[in-house]
Amino acid sequence: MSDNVNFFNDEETDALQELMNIAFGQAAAELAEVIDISVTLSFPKLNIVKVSDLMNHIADDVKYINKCNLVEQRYKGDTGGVAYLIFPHGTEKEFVSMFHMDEEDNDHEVFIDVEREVLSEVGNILIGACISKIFDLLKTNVTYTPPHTMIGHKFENHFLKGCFTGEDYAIMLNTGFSLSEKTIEGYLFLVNCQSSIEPLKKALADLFESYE
Amino acid sequence: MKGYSQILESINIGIVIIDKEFNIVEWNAWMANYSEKREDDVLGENIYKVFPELDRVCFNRGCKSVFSFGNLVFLSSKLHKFLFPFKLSGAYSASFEYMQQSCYLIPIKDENGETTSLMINVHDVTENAILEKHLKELSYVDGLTGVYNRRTFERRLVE
Repeated sequence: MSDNVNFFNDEETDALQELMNIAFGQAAAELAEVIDISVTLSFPKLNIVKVSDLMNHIADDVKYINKCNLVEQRYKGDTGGVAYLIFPHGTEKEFVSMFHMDEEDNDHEVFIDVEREVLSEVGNILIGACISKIFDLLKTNVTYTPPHTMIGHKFENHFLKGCFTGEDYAIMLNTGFSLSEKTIEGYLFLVNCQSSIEPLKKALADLFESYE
Repeated sequence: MKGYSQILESINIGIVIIDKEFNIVEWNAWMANYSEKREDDVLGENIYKVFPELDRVCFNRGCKSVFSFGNLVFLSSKLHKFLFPFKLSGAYSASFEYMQQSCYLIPIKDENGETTSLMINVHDVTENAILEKHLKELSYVDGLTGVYNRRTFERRLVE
């Protein structure tokens, strides 16, 4: 874990990563059922980083950060944060052919941003699946705001403003994932604010206790 | 509870609540007004029986997601136009045959956090859809001749 400032001890860090791994495993299995596409999620990583360094940490993983497709969704419960789903620019067309299966025919309409809407709808399900499974295991409730989607945009520092202040630390959980046998690959970042640390520690302690 | 009931009946959005078997347990006055189906006639009925048009990928996928993950699902009017086919009359009917709707599928959880039912919020966005359509037409069509402009030509070339 980089920038370790001992918010979590080793046992808690391992437990949180393992919990995410279980949660994402469950999410992937159920996502295959819901969206009818195979989903693979890599082993998640946990980092605690200064908010001012978040951009650099995201850029370490996402090489196409200057031009990407982004779905952003905020969630709030005992802990709160922002989820970012990041894909390479260009994958939006794959999304349309993979997920826009309704009988609706928008092809003749130049007036509709079909790609943005499909990305938003599918991104919402992917994010919801991963977050809900984590918080189910932690036995805490969470609610969501509607997703915001951008296509071919640069991921910028100001996206992180609003729910974090520069000197705060953020808990960054991230995983790489692929859809439909690597047709689309991307990253999911869950960035929780510093005030989430205590509720997370408590939820982990309750979880340990339930196994004792 | 009386206050809650008044809010439900007077709010300017459609509210439908269905259980896990897709039976209707709540149908507010807004829905009764636009669907011309009274609450007493639809309560307890399967929603697919009342509106067979809902048997679409977007709605089925959204419901599965809400019951599996307990997340909020948004169904955009830009992509799906509407969930419930409410025929328009009057001035708006020149632009669209049916009311354009943005819909939310929202989980309703019990005290154990389990999603037991699903609330459908239906927002009438027809006016916005007409304005947006008009704005986009202005940006793609030449105002004088009415044919597609150079921007549309270049966009089609890229596609």
